[in-house]
Amino acid sequence: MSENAIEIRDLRKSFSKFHLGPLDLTVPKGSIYGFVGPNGAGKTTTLDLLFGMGRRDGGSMNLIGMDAIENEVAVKQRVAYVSPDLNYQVWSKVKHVIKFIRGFYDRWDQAYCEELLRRFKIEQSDKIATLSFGNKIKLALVLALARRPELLVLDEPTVGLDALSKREVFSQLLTMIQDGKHTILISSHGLTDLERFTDHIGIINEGRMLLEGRTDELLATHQHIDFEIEGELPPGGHLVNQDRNRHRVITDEPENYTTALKQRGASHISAHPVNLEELFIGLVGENEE
Amino acid sequence: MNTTIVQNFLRRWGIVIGLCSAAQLAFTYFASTRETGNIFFPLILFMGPVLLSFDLSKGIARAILLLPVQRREVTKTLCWIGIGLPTLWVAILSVCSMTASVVFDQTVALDWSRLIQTVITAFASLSIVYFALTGLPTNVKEAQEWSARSLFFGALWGFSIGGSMLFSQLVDRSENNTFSSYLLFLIVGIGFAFWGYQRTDDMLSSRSTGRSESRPGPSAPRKSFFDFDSEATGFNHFIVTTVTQVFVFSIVFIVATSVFNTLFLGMLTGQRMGNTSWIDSTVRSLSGQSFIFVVMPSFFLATKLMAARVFRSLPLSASQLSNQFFKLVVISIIAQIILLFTIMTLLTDLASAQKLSKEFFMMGGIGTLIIPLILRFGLKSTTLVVAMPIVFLSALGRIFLPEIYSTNTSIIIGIVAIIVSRFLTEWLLATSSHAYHQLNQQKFANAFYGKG
Repeated sequence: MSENAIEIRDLRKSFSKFHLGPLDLTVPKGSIYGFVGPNGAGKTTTLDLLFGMGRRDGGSMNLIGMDAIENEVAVKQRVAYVSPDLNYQVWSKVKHVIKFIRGFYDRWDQAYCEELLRRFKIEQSDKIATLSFGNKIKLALVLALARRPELLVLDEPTVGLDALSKREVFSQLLTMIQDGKHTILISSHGLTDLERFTDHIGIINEGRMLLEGRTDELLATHQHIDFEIEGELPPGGHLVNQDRNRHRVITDEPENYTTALKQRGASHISAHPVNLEELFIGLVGENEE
Repeated sequence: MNTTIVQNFLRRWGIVIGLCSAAQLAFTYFASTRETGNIFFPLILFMGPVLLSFDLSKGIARAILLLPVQRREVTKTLCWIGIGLPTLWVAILSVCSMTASVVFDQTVALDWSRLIQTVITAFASLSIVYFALTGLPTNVKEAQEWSARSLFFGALWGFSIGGSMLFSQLVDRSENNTFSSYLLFLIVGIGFAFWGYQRTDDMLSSRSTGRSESRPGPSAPRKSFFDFDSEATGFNHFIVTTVTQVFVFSIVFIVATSVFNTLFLGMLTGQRMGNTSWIDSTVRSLSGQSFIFVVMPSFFLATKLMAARVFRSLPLSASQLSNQFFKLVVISIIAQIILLFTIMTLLTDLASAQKLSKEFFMMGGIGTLIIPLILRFGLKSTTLVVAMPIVFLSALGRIFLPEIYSTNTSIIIGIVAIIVSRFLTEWLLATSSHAYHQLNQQKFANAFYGKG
């Protein structure tokens, strides 16, 4: 039995103006995985392919130990998906969509569903069209959580949510994952939230995975190095900033990089820890250039 | 009138207007050579009020009202786009096609009275549809509660299409007083145009706010006709409610058509409910609008495809999902045909009803092609461009190819069309990402299901 909730290997998909992959992505069971990337990086395309919304050109996708396409129905019984693009207006009222969705899931927990609705202040008689944008996301989350999924995939779930609502949402997600049997993948470009809540991170840009691993380890191994140097920079660092001969790079080998700088005559060398946002900008910014 | 707004409208909808014009041109040409009379062709409505309604549902009212243009000028411009311009265009097209028929078919003389009748019919129907547009629901409260007002304007919108077609046919066949009938229709058109003009400002105001006037209260539970209070429902309930919605809509449509015939046409032609003339006009009206009934199931499903992402994330394969969709559509089409068959048998005879049922089935089958089209292109002008010929030509084919439509061949064509649509739908659900990335779907969902 695989120890990973999601295993994507060599995934490829081409559109006229965008190419995804080859992409590898690994989400360990019981983790909260932050799937980070700028707009148009390929996050939604990757998640869509997991749920059969579009066909892959190549590669493999395993969810909870099963091929996502071959065992589509069995996988979807145990995996839930939340996105601001889920449109429930067709069912008119909250109670109607609940009745519709729960008909598909054996493990549907109605008591939990009602508790979540209360907590998110959504009435069953509310008309979906009149819900605020934030409440529509909360409704999607209720419908996903109440089916008690082993894996929850959230595509930009915090878009349009105020600070209080975000805290509520993340609090529910943390409750869900407490037993270690559940896994969450959150795709977002809201980095501050992810740094606090995720234990694994994957940074994607232009359809390729730039960096993946445990959040604390990545932040511990990567550092900002500020220095002044004339001439070429040593290899092994991502240039974040340059002002004449003053440079700032991000590197995952700070000691080796510092030694290399000293050998090239660099001065005013100082190293600082990075946060996720700085790491993201460092990696993606360089890639953009 | 503001020419910039008019030019912008024409630039955005040029392709659709162009195609409608080509179809209108061809139809007027064939109508004049075959002596089928002054048959009004509803595609001209797409040149004005229908396209305007798409713009309004996308929120153009707000954008227009923010422009540095006087309200009065905006109102005149919209009336010109909705009524004046398409009427003028129909007149030009009619002159072109009639001239063509004189040149290419020497036996036909230029018939100025027919031209005037066509223009009057177009003007009156455009005026009525434009007036209906000013009263269509603009927010969730109106749209979802089926208020009497939205029902009235919705019915007027739908019936003016078939009504105008029917009117032109009836008056053409009537031996008495055609001139006075058209004069009356012109007066009716002027009245609705003026009334529509008066209501345009209100329409712009209500459509520019984007929110319903009052947020519905939290609960006063209301038992709706479709609200089956059961436990978990899934697809079976979904199918039952959707089929019921289509069925109820059809009954309302049929009842309203009969009332329309009795009241409106009764005034023009002197027919009375139950007499031969009334039966004849009702049968003509229902069979003339049959494509609306049988295409309706596909259209209703198309509106549900706004939730394509929700459906696809359910534990169903693309094949199972397509089966559920087509179960819904086929049941709906059969229910519609049974309804129409029963009414036609009562009004006419069994043989005529059987003949019409075959036509309905073929048109319903062809209509299901709308489903993969919307999945592939979304509900936007491209889809309209491709879907319009399917819908209207399947209806017009009845006039020009009656030998196919009334035989068993039509049933085979209908079945083949349904099978092709079913497999195209499965293929698109499984392979295309377009179905799940249509920005217009949200706009359309707001327009169809209302927005908060």
